[in-house]
Amino acid sequence: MSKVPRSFRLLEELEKGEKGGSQACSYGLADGDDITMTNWNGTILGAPNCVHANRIYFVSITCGPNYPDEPPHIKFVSKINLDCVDQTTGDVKPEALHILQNWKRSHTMEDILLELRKEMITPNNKKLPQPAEGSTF
Amino acid sequence: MSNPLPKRIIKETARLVSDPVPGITAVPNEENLRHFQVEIQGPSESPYAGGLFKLELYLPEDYPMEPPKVRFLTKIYHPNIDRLGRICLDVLKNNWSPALQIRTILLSIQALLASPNPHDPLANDVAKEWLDNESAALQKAKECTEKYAK
Amino acid sequence: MGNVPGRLEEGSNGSVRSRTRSNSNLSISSSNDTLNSRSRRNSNQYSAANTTNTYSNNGIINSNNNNKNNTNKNNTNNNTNNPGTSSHSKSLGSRRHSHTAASPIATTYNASSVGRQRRAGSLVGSLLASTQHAFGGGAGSSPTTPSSMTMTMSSASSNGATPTRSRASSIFSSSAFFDNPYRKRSTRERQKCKEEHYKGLVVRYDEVVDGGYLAPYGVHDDEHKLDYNENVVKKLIIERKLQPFYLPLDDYEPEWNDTELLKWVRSLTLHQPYSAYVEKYEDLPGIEGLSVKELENSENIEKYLDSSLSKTERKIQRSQIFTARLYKRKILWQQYETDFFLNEKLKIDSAKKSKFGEPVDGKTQSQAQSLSFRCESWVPNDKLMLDLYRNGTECPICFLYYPGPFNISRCCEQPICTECFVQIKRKDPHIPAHENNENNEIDEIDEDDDNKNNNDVNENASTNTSKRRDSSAQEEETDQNGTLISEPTSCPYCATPNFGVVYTPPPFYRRCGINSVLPGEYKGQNIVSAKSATPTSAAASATASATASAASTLATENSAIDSPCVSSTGVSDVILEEAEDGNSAFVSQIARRGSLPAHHESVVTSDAIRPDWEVKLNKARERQKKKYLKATTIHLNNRLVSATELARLEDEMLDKAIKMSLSSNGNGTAANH
Repeated sequence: MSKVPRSFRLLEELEKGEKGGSQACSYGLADGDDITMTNWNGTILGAPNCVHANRIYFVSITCGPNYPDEPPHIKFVSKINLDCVDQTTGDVKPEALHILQNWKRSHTMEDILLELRKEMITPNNKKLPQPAEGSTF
Repeated sequence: MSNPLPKRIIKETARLVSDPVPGITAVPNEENLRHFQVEIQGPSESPYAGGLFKLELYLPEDYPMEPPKVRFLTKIYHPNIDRLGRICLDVLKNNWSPALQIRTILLSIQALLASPNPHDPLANDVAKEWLDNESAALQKAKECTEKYAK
Repeated sequence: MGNVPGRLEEGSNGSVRSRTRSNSNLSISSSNDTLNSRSRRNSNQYSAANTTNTYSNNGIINSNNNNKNNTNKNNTNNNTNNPGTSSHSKSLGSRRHSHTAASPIATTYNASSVGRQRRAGSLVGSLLASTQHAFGGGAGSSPTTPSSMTMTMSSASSNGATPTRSRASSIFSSSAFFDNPYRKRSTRERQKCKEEHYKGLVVRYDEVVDGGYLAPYGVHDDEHKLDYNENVVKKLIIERKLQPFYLPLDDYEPEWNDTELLKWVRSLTLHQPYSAYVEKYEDLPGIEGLSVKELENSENIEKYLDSSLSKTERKIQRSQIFTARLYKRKILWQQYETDFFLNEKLKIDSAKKSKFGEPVDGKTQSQAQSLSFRCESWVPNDKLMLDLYRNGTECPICFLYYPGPFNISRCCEQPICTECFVQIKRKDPHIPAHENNENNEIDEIDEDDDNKNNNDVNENASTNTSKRRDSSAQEEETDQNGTLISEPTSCPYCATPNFGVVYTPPPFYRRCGINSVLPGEYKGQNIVSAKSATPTSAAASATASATASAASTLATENSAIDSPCVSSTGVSDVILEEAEDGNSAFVSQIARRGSLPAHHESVVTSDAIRPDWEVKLNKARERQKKKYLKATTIHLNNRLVSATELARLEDEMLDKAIKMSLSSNGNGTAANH
């Protein structure tokens, strides 16, 4: 299999994001002039049937020069209390999220956002107290 | 680990080197022979004249049954090219044919620089300017070429 | 005859000459495999793990099967064969079962002397034996289903009824299996179907037409684009309406002498090597470390599924595992055929040695000796290889060199190899991009239309927009008229809609394989006809590497000298006689000028090899309709339950999404869509 270069891979993801792939999350370039396509914004719709239901979380995603060979860096902008999120900075700890720890070239930003959404309803996280809606890190 | 490069890609690459297109160069990336660094000279008689535009081109897995992917890396003021360098060109999309080649695609892009089509825009703001005040648009394109493509 | 490898005395019926080969049933694993019912493999002399079949010699004696006497004779022969055939077929299942338990060694020696002879001296012998056993075991594990039994039987009987066609008809799997194309199929049925399709894509060493094969070499090995109807294509190749899949050469130099050319041609295998590693199959459970038998059993997929997954996710994983396994099995099926092919080549080499003596000082046999050597084999002999590859062309799409004659586009008369032709297909059903995009419905063209079409293409060029823009425009249209469309393919060279090709078969002396002489017994044409003028020969040689369209001109020019024999399809074979040196060159071309309409009987269109396009379109339309109805229903229901909350949430999402999109795209591009 041939390797899709970083730029064309990110353009693919951008197009999918613009079309609106999954209804549970969205993502787009933070700066439409940035030809390197490094910084992205994402939203995650809180998982249903739990404290997160109907909340919208904002994250920022940084795709470094080695993406997608290496996973991007994810940071929650909206405050959220999850095992895998550093409670002072909002950074998602790569070692605490399966998809980041077992990163594959075929994974996408959308995969990460959906995985984070799933995290909200794991038994550990389900019981955690959550900060007020709308607060930021 | 990866499939050998299809013969067509090897032959096309060799022919691009042995028989180059005037005003166009395309060099494959050593680590990924499907990924080319491209340079296109702005056509004379166009606001892009004198400029040298960098592009990147990638031959997807299904090439030549699927078109190559191409984008500008050099900033350019053109109604059919957006700020991320994406190109709106029929032969790169629906009108792709496997009988076309890297060579013909790059020539088409060069031709697009010579004759922009503001009626079918990708960069709406540029297209609007082009239709409303063509001389101002041409001036902007020239300035942009001076600033980024030299 | 006795010295000829692969010949079988036992089971051959009186005067009927028989050809044998180890049963490739094994390679295709199970007894309910419809390919098993190929007539040449119809009388199973041995049981599953090492079955050797006789191949009754229908149509092989004479390249011209239209001879009535010949047909009758074959018919009789076949009838005498038939009782045996049927009983063998019947006992197939149970015999296989009994062999499941047999050890590899026991299985191997269960074969007749011929079987052992075949394996003797083989480099790949041990591999072959183990593969055979593995596949044989698999065969035993799947009990014969009633349907497959019926197919085996019916094939055997049709063998008797239409002897000259028997081989061809029995190559195909039964298409009657799925009667109504719109019937909803079970997962098992769909899997079975996919499996059959993959089996049909395996290049069989003994499915030869004029030195080419019935399945692709794998130049474009993308499973999504190999979804053509393999039975239709095989039939078209056998009927010589489509160029067979020749093995391609990477390069061809006209300066090569015969020895050099043969060296390259002989190094070809049946299929391009498969990539053993496929990223999308990585990390899937239930694949690695499994025996072939386990891989074949889709029942055991269940136990490998990740239990933490939801029901839908498990369903997806189940299908992923099935596909990954099928990929692996496809590699093994092809490996088996390739091994057999290589094995045959080795046998032929040793037979040559024994006939002409050991090569002295490492030198190969003299050319004349090598060219005159013929044996009962499906492997093309040197003479055939030279006749083929001295008269080839580079395909303008894959840039590989294939023997001619080529398929020629019906519109602009450009060559295209079958490997590339089968790749050209309709795009998936989609919503019309533009209302003024009207050249889609044009069915027929004539020369005047050609110009018009070119104009259309130009218009298209100016009206076309990027996919991104299209898709957003499409979404709006979906709600309004909601009709998905599917446009016929266009010619890759001149963009004329409804792409189709015409193939003019090689002259009779160059035919071999199915319904003709064995490729190993190919003689070609050695008699120089007095009619053939010397300049013609020279000209013909010169066209050896020229394109077929150039050859076409030549043929037309020369048709005054050579009297073309016009067949019922209006196709004429113009044969330019060859020079004495064995550098045969011929040109055969349809006697026509200009383009042919898509419905012309000699034209094979893209739609003809994917006849299911309309079913697919209608199904997609149906799905779209359902989706739309469902969405509306959910929408309404939600409004009834918690209208205010949902509305607030939707507004908020939309608002934020728009803001984000605006901030990311500024005054630029995508925001407007």
